[in-house]
Amino acid sequence: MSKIRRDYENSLWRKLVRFVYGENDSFHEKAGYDIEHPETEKRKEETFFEEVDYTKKKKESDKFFAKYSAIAEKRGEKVYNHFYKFLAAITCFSIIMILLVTVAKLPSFGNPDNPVNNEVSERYIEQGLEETGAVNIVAGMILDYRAFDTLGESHVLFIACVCVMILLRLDKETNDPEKLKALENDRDFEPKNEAILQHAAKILVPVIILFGIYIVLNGHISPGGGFAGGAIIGSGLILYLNAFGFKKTEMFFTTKTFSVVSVSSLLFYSLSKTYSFFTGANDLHSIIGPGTPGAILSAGLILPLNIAVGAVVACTMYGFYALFRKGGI
Amino acid sequence: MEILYAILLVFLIVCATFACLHKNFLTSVIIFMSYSVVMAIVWMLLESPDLAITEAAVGAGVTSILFFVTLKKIHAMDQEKNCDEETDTSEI
Amino acid sequence: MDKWFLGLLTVLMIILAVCIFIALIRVIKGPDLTNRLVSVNMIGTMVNVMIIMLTIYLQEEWLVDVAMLYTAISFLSVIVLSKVYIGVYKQKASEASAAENKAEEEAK
Repeated sequence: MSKIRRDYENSLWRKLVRFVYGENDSFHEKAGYDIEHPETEKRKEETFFEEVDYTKKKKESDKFFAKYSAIAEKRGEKVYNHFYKFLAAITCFSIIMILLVTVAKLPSFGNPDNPVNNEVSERYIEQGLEETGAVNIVAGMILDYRAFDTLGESHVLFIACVCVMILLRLDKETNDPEKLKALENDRDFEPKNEAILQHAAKILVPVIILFGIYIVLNGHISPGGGFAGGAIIGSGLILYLNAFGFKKTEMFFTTKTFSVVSVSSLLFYSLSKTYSFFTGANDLHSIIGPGTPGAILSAGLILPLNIAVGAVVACTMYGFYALFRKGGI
Repeated sequence: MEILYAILLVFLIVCATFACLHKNFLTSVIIFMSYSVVMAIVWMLLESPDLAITEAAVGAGVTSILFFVTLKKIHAMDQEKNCDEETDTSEI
Repeated sequence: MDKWFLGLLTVLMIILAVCIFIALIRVIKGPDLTNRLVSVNMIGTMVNVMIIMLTIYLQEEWLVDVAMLYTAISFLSVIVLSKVYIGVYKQKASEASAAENKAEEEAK
């Protein structure tokens, strides 16, 4: 009987009850000393009418309570951490289960009765060549039917580059020279004028840029298009920059070139598409016809729009790299 | 052909998992590079050539370059050697 | 196209995919940066071969574009990484030697 009683006294539930009613503090032993309320000391001192340094006493009691509350907080933190981990695991698990169930309920891949294969895609596939003049249906879709999306995408790229410029560009006139010198020293230890890289770049850079131009110009005939071609041209420029350094690239690509090329391409894109939307989305049939499918000069506005997108993307890619390396294009 | 699909998809899953789990930033970016390389093949097998070209140009080329330059900018490469030495000693 | 030829191509592609998987182990586990770089380059080369095999298997010419593009660009990221990393490494080495010199002077 007594054993059961002691077990009950030591049990977690009893401890909790005691803790709640304040009969016995569960932190009592852990604090290492008896808790004396500062008020009792104060009363004692008052009865003897001694001069006491109250500020010192207050400091001590504050210190004591800070220690006490720190232990309590630590304990609460521990409990909270366990609870937090438990909740996080449950949340992750339930989200994974929901996603897996959703994937299992999806229609099977490549099924002709899928909801994706509705009349819109049917029209794109059947009359896309007639209406846009582009052999590559994807190019016809993204630059003719959905040209507004591509406009937004190229603007997003341009805005991203401008934001990087705001954050990372270092002006030579306003910034202090020590900072600029430190930035130049940042690239000081990297290898320069490597013979192998330079000889490889001499042969490869023209080929890569030519290949990029080919992909941009043939965007409406073969796979590819403005975005991929622009990225290829940008990587060609980055290779040239890596081989020959900033002094050579500054001869033909500066901030002025960047702003002129990207802004004029975006303006051209916006103006031509605005005109075509304004005239009832007739795609400027009166000026540029769809032409014969398969020829380079065909498919109406798709070829110039591809060139505009490619110019913006190439400038943006090169601009990102130069801004991150040098702090200026 | 289905075996090829299965191997490539398992490769993608393994790459994605370890790119998330690895502690070193530089290694994560390198694993991500190999991910985007193999993704180009999967796009080809799914017969979407535009995406394959874009993935090969952007995913394998420009994205990883920008990642490396960013890592240099935030001084994440400086701890690279120390981290490796630590892992070496722990493995031994 | 002969049937046995297509079968042979499929088997070769599966073998290449397994090889890519083996190279991935070195990318993830590799103790040093150089191991990872070399194995990523290996993965790129094998993927290139696989793209050209797919061109023959699917009989589509546009895949050659992708292979050529990939050959031209895949080495660029490795070059940039090596350049940046050599810079960081040399800077660290020079800082360490400068600190050593300072310590020696103080000892004297």
